[in-house]
Amino acid sequence: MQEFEELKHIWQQSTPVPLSSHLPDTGKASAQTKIKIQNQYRYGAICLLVTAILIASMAIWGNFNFKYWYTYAAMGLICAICLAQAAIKFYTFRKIKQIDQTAPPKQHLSQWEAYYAYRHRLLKWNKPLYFILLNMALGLYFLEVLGNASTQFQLISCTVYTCWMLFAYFFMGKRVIKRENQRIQSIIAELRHLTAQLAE
Amino acid sequence: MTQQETFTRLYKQYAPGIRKLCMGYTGSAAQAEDLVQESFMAVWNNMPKYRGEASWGTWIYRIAVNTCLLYLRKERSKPKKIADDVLQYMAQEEHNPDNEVQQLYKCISRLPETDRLIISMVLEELPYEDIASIAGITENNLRVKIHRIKKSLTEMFNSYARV
Repeated sequence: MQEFEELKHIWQQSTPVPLSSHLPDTGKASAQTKIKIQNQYRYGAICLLVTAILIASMAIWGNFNFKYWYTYAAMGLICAICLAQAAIKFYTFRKIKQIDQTAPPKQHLSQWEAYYAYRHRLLKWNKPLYFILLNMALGLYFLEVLGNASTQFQLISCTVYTCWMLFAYFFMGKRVIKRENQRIQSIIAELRHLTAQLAE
Repeated sequence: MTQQETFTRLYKQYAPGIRKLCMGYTGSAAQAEDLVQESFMAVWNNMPKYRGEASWGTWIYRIAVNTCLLYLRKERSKPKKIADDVLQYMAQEEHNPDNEVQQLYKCISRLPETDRLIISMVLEELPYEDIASIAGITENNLRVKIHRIKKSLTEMFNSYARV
């Protein structure tokens, strides 16, 4: 029959790993999970910002000479959608950045829970809205761009584009969102379970 | 002293204890090594924020505890590259069925998550005041928890030893 003091003795018997050769490479500190997650959002925001700037530059200096105002409006709308999505990504990045890894565990867990709850809410409206608005803007843009093409080309282009978008939204998109939803819910449940352990 | 020098000193001083904490938490040397690396990356990233309100030890243990608790199955990153000497050590340790230390780690890893971390710090002989501060609970609550964990760990280890 082992007593706890004997367990302590066993614990202290464990030999330490040689430390000399494997100091963490601080040059790769960005590989830390939290930093990696926040950087995904930061780079996503930057990419969308660059896209918006490129489209705006093309609209202003591209010499496309579009006849109709709504074609330029479509380009402006695409820019606005990209900027709005970049702002959301940047806000998410800030949210993760503010999580304090040095806070007491209960507080730290609740900060992550708040982040995942926010992502759960975002998932419900952001992706569908982004998809619908972007396609509306693209549809508006193609009115003039495809306006001078042959009827056959217009039909093929519209069919291919519509089929791809419907497949992407109703098949791939829905599945991705459902899977992501389940993953987030299970993480939130696990975080709550851990918080409850600390509250006992 | 530069940040790199301070970090190296802290790593040499606290990594063995943190490694044992992670071993108790995961029950696996490879995952523990991954967690040690992740914890010290977090230490490095948060060093500019250190205000000296708690000792370095308490501060580092708290980061390690938070890192362990966040080591959720669904959110794990790929294991980082583990040094050859560490791999050799793991092989020696893990393939020794008579190793009581391994049995103890396995038993600890079967406790509820927060209990694993608390008992690992008790076994490491950290003062109760520090453990309470690291875990963010009152000392009274901690004493009650420790009493319960000691009992269940001892029972588990004894039943494991009888098998």
